[in-house]
Formats: sequence, structure tokens, C-alpha cells
Amino acid sequence: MIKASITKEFRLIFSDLHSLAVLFLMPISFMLIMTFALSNKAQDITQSVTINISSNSTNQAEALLNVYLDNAGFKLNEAAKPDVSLSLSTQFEQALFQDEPEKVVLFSKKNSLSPQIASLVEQHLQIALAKVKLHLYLRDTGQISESQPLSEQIASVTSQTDQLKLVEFSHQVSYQAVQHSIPSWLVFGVFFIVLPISITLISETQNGTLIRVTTFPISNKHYFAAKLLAFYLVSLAQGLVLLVIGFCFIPLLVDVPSVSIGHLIYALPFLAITCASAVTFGALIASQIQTHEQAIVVGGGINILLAAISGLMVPLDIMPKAMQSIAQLSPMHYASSGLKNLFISHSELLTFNTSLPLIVFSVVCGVFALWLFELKVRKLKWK
Amino acid sequence: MTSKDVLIQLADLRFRYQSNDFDTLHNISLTISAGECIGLIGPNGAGKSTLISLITGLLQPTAGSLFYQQSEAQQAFIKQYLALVPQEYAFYEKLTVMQNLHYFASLLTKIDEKSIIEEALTKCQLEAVATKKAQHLSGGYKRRLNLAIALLKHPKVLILDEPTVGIDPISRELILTLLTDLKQQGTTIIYTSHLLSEVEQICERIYGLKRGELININAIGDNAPLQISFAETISNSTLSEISALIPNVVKTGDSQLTIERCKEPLFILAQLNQLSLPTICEINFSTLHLENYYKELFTEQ
Repeated sequence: MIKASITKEFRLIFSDLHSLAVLFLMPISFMLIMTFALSNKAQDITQSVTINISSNSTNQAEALLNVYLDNAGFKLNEAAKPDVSLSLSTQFEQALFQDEPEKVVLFSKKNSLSPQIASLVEQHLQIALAKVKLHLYLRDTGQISESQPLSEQIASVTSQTDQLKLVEFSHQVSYQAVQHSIPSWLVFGVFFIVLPISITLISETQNGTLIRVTTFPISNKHYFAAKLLAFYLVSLAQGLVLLVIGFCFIPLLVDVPSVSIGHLIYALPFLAITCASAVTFGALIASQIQTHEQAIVVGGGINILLAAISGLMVPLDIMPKAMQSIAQLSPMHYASSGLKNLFISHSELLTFNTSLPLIVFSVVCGVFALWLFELKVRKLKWK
Repeated sequence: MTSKDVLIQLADLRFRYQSNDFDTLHNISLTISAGECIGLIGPNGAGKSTLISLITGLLQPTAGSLFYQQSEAQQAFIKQYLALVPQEYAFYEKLTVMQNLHYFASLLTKIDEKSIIEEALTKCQLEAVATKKAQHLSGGYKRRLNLAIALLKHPKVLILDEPTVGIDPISRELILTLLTDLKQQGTTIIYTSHLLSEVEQICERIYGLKRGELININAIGDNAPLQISFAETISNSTLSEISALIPNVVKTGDSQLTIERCKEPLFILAQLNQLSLPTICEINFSTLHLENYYKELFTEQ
């Protein structure tokens, strides 16, 4: 019976284009889109920002500011309607060396410029101002000569600021955003197993199959458990496909360190736990859903809400503390954290703090789903 | 009928939904024996579905008892001997006929899966479409598949809800013939349908549900009118003479009399024979068509 149940569910899912799209196409698309969207280097971002600098006078400091911002990659004084306008006062150069300087740079930005990009420009402006100050100081102290070509002067200043070998990074700093997004969208996709489970249960309820099954020599709990096992295997197959594509192939497209297929074996136990939590959670929701419309709105809606509070859409560490606490209640948070550990740090061990909550969650959801399914069957009535 | 033949017995069954302040079914008593075909008719909302839900264990009675082969072990009997054919296509449209049969056969225990599938395919003449997806079948074949799945169990009791609705005459004939065969082989059938001609065709006993009460339609059929046409006009004095002897006589034409609610037509004819009446040229005693009964019974509902 279990074999027949598994075969049946596989056949039903793989003959349903909508289910396949939800389980495979949607998460793969998300992984690809978000990977390309987040793979931009800082240099690529600054190149897309236009800055106009205006002043009432000409001095060395202003010229140097132009050079340092240009070196950072910004497009200077090219646009009629720039993203950022910097207006320098006549006291600009003197203010650089004052103990309590006046505000001499007026920063204004286009309303449409995102806060993140505006913040990046502000950071680059502060760095450029610091370099200008250092540049002028090194000139005054004779450590660099005005007779030197400007490029050499700048190289000398930059060597003392950008290339300080004081910090050793224990992790790979580049492309972190991509490495965070792939596990997130993988987990998001795996939890969408709720839709095929709901749709199957709704169809069976509406067309009388479930009533028919109640007259077969199998208990409701066994029937539901066999169905969940079938969906669990479907979920594992889905998770495995997404894992291979997301961890091994997509990183290659954007020159991000990928995980070797051989190394994926270490991710399988955690994937199995993640799939169990997704299937039991899906079963819990499906046992209460009555119509296809509810399946889409409730099943899909709950997944999107969980993804939002779990830090799948916005990184958790930039959320307020209260939101971070709420995320601790979501299975998606633990699932994505666990997979990120495996992906980013190439960890080979299941971590207790991500696996245990998921196991407990799966057991609780599974027990409740079985109980609620039994209640649902008891409410069935011959139409 | 021996007590050994009794398969299902409903004794003073009463059912009330929690949300209602009245009984949906009350005082339902019915004995169903092996090989019988019971027709259950009534308008929507009369309580048919509730009664079937009680028989199939989907609902539990508020009062009264249900016996299955003289035992109250309801679930054991249902799971082993009872099969349902819902009005909806209770199978998986995206699977083939064979895959559907395989799946439902896998839910059974201790069976030769291959042989029961072949038997169901043959009985319902589904061999030609065995590898076709159910969603691509005609309505007639879908109905046959719906029935074939129920037959996998070799049920002692088969409950069918409008099994021929919306299908072609060939499939309809096949299903009705198959049900007649099953009945002859000892399968008990409970048949609900709004196609009253079918109910009349295959059911020995027909029950109507009215305001939660079970009414034996066959008993009503015993009270059909006796219509007598004479060769000459019936005079008022002759009519008085007949009325004095026989109750419920109505003149329904110059030369026609109708004796309403005639329980014993032969006895009445014998009594008429004692009188000197014009020559009788036609006697019509036919039970009312089920449809007329149905209208008579349920118009007010």
C-alpha cells in the first residue's frame, strides 16, 4: 500500500504542470533572479550613480575630492539631473583641518535614490573627504611632493588607507549576499509542498474519494501517514534537485565558490529534516483547508509571511531585535540558517541549534496534522 | 427470510445535527437482506444523504441501533463488506484506469490484486480504455470506472448514488445489467437516484424519505385505483347501487367509474358481478407510475 501510495503521489505531481512549476520552476527562478540581482560588486553599483559637485571657488581640496570620488567609480558631473548633488562652500578646504568644522558640504539626493545607495554614497564621500585631508596633510608635511604626478600622489595616499593589512578575515567576504539568498529561496521552495498536499486532499474530499477510502480496510491515520510519506519523498526529490542546482551550478554562473556534488552528501541529513518540517507543516495546513482558493491564499500566504519574518527576504541581521526574536518561531529561519552554514562555511556537521527545533516542529506538526485529518474525516458527509 | 440473511438492520434510528433543533431522521426502521435491492428516493434535503452517511458509518445515530449481520461492529463490516459508488467521480483523473484500479486494490488486504483488477475491468468492460487517463474518458466510462473501483472489494453491500447520471444509453444499460447480475449473485444494493424509472427497474423495495420519515412506496402502490369502462352510460341509480356496495366509487366519465384506493381489485370485481350492470368493456388496474407517487408524496416539501 505504501509503495502504491508513493507511486500514485509521484504520478499525480509529475503529471501536474502547476505542481511542478511551484515545486521546481518557482524556487529555481527565484534563486537565479536573486543571485544575479545580488551579484553586483560595490564597484558596479557606484558606477551607476551620478554625482554633480558644485562650488563657488576652486581649490586643491575640491579638485582632490573630485579625483577620489571618481576613483571610487562614481560618474561625476555628467548628468543634468544627478542622483546626488554636492555643494561645497568657500570654506571647504579650511574646514577640513578645523577641530570643530562647520558643515561645508551640502548633500542632496534624488527622491528616487534608494536609502541603501544613498548610504553607500555617504560612506564613499566620508572616505573621500578623509583621503583629501590625508592627501593635503602629507603634502604639507612633505611626505608627498606637489611635483609628483597626481596619480603617484593618489597611489601613495591610497596605499596608506585602502590596503591596510591589519585585519585577517576568517570568511570569504565577497558575494555573501548570494550565498545567503540561495539557501533562503531553496527553503522557500521546499515549504511550497503545502500546495500539492492541499490540492490533493481537497480533490479527494470534494470528489468523494476520501469517503470511498473510509470503506476500505485501512485506518484514516494509516492512509494519511502513507500520503505524508509519499509527499516526504517528493519533497526530498525536490530538495535534492534544488540543492544541486542552487549549491553546485548557480554559483558558477556568478563566480561564487560552489559546493562540490560530493560535498552535498553532508547536506542530506539536514535536508531530510528540513523536508520533514515542510511536509508536516504543509499537512497541518492542508488538513484544515477546504477549497482550492483557500489553498492558494492560505497555503501560499502563510509561506510568504513566514519567509518575510524568517529573514529570507530581508537579511535577519538588519532587522530590529523584536523581529529577530519573532524569526526564532519560524521553521524557515532554522532551515535556512542550517543550509547557510553548510553552504557558506562548508560545515559537515548538523548543528544542534538548527536541527533540534526543526525536529521538534516536525513531530508536533505531524501529530497535530494526523489528529486534524481524523477530525476532518469524521466530518465527511455523503453528498 | 431467515435472520441469517439479514445484512443490515436499522432499529428506531434517530439523527439530529448539532446545529439543528429538530431530528433530520426519526424512527427509521429497516431490515435489508442479502441479495435485495433497496431504492431510496426523495427530494434534495429529505435526509437520504444523512441516512446513507449513517449506514456507511460517516455519522453516528443520535438514538437507535444499527446492526450489521446482527452485530454492532460497524467499522469491521463496512471496511470488509461495504462499497460505495459516489455520484462524483471518486478517483484520480490524472491516473490511467489501470493505475486507479491498482491504487485502490493496494488498499485492500489479503487479495490477489491482479485477478481482482482483471475481474473488475472485465465486468465493467473497461479493457479497451485500461491505459487511458481517466480525465480523457467519456462520461460513460468514468461511471464504469467509478463502479469498477467499488467492485474490487467484492462487496456484500453496494451503495450507489445516481450511478448513471449523465451517461449514454449503452453505458447506462451496461451498469443496470451489471447491477442486476450482482443482485442475482447475492450482492445487496442500496440505490439512490432521481431517475425513478431506473429505481423501479432494479429495486424490489422502494422507500421515500419525507420529513425524516421512511415511507414504504410499495405499500402505497397497493392502493392503486381500479378503473372500469362500461359499454353503456351509467345511470345515477346504477351508481347509487354500486356505491352502496363498494366504497370510494367516483364517476369519471359517462360510461366510466373509478374505485379509488382499491386494495383488493378481484374482490371488488366479484362484488360488481353480483349486480346487473351494463357490459364491462375495459378494466384498468395498474399501480400508479412511481413518478406520480413521487409527485404526490413530495410536492408539498
